[in-house]
Amino acid sequence: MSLVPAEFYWRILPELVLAGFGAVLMLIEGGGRAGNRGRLGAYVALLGSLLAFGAVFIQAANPGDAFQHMFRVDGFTVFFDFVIIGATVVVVLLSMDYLPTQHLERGEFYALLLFGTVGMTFMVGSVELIMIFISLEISSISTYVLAGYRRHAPRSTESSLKYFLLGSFATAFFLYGIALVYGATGTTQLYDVARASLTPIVGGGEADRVLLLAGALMFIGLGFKVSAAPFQVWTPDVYEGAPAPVTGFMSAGPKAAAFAIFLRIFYVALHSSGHAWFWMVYVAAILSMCLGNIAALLQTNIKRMLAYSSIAHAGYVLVAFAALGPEGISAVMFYLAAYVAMNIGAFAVVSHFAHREERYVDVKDYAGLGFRFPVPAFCLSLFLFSLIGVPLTGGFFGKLYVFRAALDAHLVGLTVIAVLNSALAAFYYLRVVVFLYMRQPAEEIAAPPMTGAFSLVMIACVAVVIWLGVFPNRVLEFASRSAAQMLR
Amino acid sequence: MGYLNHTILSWVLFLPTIGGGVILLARSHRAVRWTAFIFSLATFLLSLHLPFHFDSAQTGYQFVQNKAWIPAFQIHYFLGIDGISLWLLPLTTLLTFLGVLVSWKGIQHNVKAFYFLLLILETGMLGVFASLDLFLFYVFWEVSLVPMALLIGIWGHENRIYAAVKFFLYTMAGSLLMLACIIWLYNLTGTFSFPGILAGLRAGTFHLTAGTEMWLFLGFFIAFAIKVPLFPFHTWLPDAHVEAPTAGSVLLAGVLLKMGAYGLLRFNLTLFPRASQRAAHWIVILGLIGLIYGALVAFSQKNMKKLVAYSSVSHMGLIIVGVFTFTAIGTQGAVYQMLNHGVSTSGLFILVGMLFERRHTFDLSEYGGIATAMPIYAGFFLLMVMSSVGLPPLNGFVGEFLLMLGAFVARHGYGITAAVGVIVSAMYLLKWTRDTLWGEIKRPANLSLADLDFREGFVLGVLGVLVLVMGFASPLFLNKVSTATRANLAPYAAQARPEANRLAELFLAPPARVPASAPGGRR
Repeated sequence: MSLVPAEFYWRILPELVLAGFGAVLMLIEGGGRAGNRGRLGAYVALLGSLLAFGAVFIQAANPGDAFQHMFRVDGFTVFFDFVIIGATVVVVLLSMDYLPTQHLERGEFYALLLFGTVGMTFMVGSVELIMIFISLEISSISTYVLAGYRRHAPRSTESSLKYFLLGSFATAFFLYGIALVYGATGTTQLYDVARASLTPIVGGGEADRVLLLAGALMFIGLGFKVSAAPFQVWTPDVYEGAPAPVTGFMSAGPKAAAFAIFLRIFYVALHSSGHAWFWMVYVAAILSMCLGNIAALLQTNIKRMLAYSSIAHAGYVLVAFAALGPEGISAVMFYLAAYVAMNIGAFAVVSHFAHREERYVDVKDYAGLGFRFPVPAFCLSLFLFSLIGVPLTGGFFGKLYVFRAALDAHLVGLTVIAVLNSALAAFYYLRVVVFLYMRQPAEEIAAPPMTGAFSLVMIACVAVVIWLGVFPNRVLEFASRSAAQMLR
Repeated sequence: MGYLNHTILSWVLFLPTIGGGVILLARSHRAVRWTAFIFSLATFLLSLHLPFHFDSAQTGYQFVQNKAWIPAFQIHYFLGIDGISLWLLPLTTLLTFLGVLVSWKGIQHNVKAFYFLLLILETGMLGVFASLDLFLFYVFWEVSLVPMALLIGIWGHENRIYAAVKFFLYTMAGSLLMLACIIWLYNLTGTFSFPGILAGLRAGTFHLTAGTEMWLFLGFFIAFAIKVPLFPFHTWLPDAHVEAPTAGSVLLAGVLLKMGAYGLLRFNLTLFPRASQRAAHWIVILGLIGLIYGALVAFSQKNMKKLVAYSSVSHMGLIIVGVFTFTAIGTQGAVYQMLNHGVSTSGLFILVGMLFERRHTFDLSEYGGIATAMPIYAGFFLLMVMSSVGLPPLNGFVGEFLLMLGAFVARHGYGITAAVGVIVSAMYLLKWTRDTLWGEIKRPANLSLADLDFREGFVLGVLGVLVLVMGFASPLFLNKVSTATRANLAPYAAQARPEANRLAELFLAPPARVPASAPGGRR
């Protein structure tokens, strides 16, 4: 009998595949002929992420703990792995079009993407704070670099630097929180923390207060990662400056992963002080929704608008978070799945229309595109209607689930604010649709070709958005089952 | 026949969607138009199955279809109709069919998208009237919103974008409140099924406190009041109507406004009877204000389309008065007047649209003496206006008469105010007719206007025949409605006044007929 049982490796198979292909990409980048390296890298990355996606099924078939209870495969892990790796596949496809247009095609882009994904998938599966921290760093550092990938564009460099400085600041808070948790309970394993917090080793109310402080510090760190107000200031600049596919990626993968550990840490480890951190979530939810939506109303740059909209959506997720129950967890999960699909889809169309040096990213540039490029424009409208929350789209069902969870927890005030915010948000999403179909163009944008990769992205995102909107039953049931599993 | 009866609603609902899909494949404008023509006609013919096989004696819902859709949330694909919704479906399919015809020449750009949206809109509207699951109802409610906003925004007139966005946001705000209330009800009862919730509430399985009931009532009420639109929620309507293409106006006035009145009748009155009674007085007053205010504003309009739009505000106000009198006669009148308004106001919008196609203006002062050049047109114009005025024995008379009786029975003050409102509406309609059809010919262009061609004559002919049939043979329609309206008013039966019952027997009990000449008291 070996020290490490074989099923431990099955349980981290997606991560192994991703890391392996990431390493291969680095080797290709070093050797090989210049010129077609980028293209080759793209195909390798695509293969790697697709295999990793398949590996999640194998992972799902081997539930259980691994590596001294530091890693856990349960429905929750599997759900988020599908979401995150799915997002990576889509972003790889998108970059296959985007990078050559911008003359940025290099293999290391894809390597960074895969390594970042490794970090995120480890994040959602880890049930131990040090592991969570390390994987958070892996994912963050990759994203910092990716954000600055258009290194000749000052905005992109600015974006990367801002993200890096503020991001490291926030992770420091998070790390401090971990230290305090260890101090209060003597362990960093989440489920042990939960148990220990009921019978504190330090004794008395002291530990409670230390845990609460730890919770507050970790809340700051994670609030930054999910761009919840009041820790959202970095978001618009970073989203605007980063290359469009990377922005799509940042708004999806890292955000979903951060929410996943958010859920695990607060619902499991800090469960006993729920009554106290509930108010942090409550206030952050209101601030994020209101700030995000009001600021988005004022934007004319589509990437900035979507950045603020993503802050608002973090707010909706926090509404479900505040529901403090299994309903809340599964609502968060479903919402994130729908959000990832529609948001990446929207950024995909934005990067499709962006052209070299991202010249066309203003709402005005979209005037009259609706009838000139019917397919991408129709898809973009669908994603925007889903972001508004119109029925038969995933976004609608996500909102419904969130409102329901909140009302079930008697958070009537919070629900009313969320409802009013959704109505407000309709205005700025609708403005893009108005420009697409109802205004005459000032300047004729040349037709970007509909490549195979872009078509695949559109088909995948549209299919998921519609599927989650029309036949959400399987995903709903899976989410509520995994929510129950996670709390155990 | 059994199979058809159990699936007919789905066929009617989704035939237009299939048509929309086929349209996307069509190559030429001609093919697109004919595809839309065929599918909308087929849907209309298929929807006629409903009244022919509807059992007017049976209580409860007919043509029911109930399948689990999203079991995790207890959401069902649950369709069925009763007397209240029965006629609204053929009305919708007919008006969509006519909408296809009136757009034949008027819509020349992006033809494919136009007809596609028109047919999707039809599915949404039909679904609203046929859904018995609150979630499904909400889905169709929103599905009808998006295509209409796009129809206004893309094919409308100068100010179309403002109008489309205003329309979308107003309706969206209202319907989100409704959604919150639907979820609230679901959390209280554990089901989205409307008959299920209703049975539970009546049997006392679920209990709503007075406060909760009032909040829920208001949430639904605001959504529906915006759609009706009830004064003071009406400001989106004139903009939307003026800017919409003719087919858009026809469906907006003919069907979408009915969705609001239908919702009030179907959901507010039955689910929240106590709150309805508490609020009724104020709502009736709002309805009466709408009736008179709409008529007065219409009187002073210079834009023909705005005039018809405000006339809708006025007519819908009276319908809401009828709904909130809680009398059998008023409710019947409301249901019937919804159909009448759908026919006559659509007719008026089509007439205005035809003038616009010839002269490209809605300005009243541009017209005058049209009757000389367009005698057939003038005949139809007169017929539709008289139907809208409520001249006996046309259809409008039956509806208005019942509504006013209902208002009188509920409270004399309501009846008197309603009568005043109806007189004002006769004033602006007759003035409009005089200024347009007769008088001196101020513009030489009006001398050489072409009269109706075959297509236009056909569209107006269909509506004209309906105006006459619904006026002379109203029992044909009303008999199928009465069982459902009585059932709908069950919670209010205890408070009904004896004279209301006598009146109901006089006018409504089959086979009693509505007399062609009113027994006094009209105006």
